[in-house]
Amino acid sequence: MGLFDGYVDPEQFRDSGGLLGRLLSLQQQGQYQPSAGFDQAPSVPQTPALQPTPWPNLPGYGSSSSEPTAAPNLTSQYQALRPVLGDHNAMLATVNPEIGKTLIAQALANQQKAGNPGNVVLAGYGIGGIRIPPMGAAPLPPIPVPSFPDWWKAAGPILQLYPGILSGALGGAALTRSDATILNNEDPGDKPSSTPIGRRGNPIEVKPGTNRPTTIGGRIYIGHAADQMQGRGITPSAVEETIRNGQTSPGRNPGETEHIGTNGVKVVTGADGQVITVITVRR
Amino acid sequence: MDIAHQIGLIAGAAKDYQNGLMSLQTLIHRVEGILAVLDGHALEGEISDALFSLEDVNAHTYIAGYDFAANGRSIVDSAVKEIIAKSEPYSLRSE
Repeated sequence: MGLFDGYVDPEQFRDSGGLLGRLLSLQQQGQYQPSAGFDQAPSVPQTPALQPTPWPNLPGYGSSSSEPTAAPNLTSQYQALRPVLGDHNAMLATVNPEIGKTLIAQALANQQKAGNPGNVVLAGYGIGGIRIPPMGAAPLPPIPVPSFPDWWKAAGPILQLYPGILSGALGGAALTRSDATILNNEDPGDKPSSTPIGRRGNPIEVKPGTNRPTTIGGRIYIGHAADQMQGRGITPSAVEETIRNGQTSPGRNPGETEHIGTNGVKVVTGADGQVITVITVRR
Repeated sequence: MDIAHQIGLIAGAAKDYQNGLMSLQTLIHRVEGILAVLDGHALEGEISDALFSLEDVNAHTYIAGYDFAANGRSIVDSAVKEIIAKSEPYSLRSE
């Protein structure tokens, strides 16, 4: 049999609106109806003018001849064959099953020779009414996806470091620090863990006004106290320890109190107990 | 470690502040840092009160909007002079 024996020139359907037009015409006349298993259920007994192609020579399809095969929509069949055979050959295979068998066999042979059956297999899944079992690679294991709160929280510090990331590159509204703080579910006075902190013997100078007043453990720290604590690496717990258990004396200003702890921390508190400043002293 | 040199840095910082070359905040941090390096030197006890006076004024300067309080200037001037006076003898010694 020659390759183009029985070849049907699609141009012959031009007067009736092309091949697609002819297929639609057949559908409207009731000669062809979509089969069960497709989008639309058949409403009348099928007497298709063009019989569905079983493609019995496809790998793993040998047993299909004894199984009832749904009549595929020819348009869908054409669309399904296009990735495998290309436009022209897919049309040939659709209108001429014998040629289609040959072309598919050739395509399979070429794919296997190239060691890459992927396209055929993937395309096979999409052929209406034609079952092609999976070949080669097993399905990939599921990729673990972090739960929503984790990446949502991770976005906070990143956006704090690059506050213009949304406004500049994407044209969106700028993310304010308070927005990022909300993302992190933090107290507004919180700082990212990357904030530089000094330590005893190696303090760093924190620009005045870097920190805003904040409340930690129910105690108010004015911004200057927070700056000094950051520069000296003094933790709020050390301050609280000094206030609670340190030696107390009247401050130099009315209503203030000085606390000197055995931990080498000196704290000045105001009349309401707010922390005014913190300094390290000799232990 | 050259302790005399370190203490000389304290005196030098105090003089720089007098000459307007550094801020009060910087002076406090520098003196505090050097004292921590000296760890236990007698000078620490001698100037800790003056240093705390500086920090007290510094804190209230912040509260007042970066303006010295009424007596803040005099307190600072006095404390700086005290620091220089107590540190220079150590910086001139060879230890």
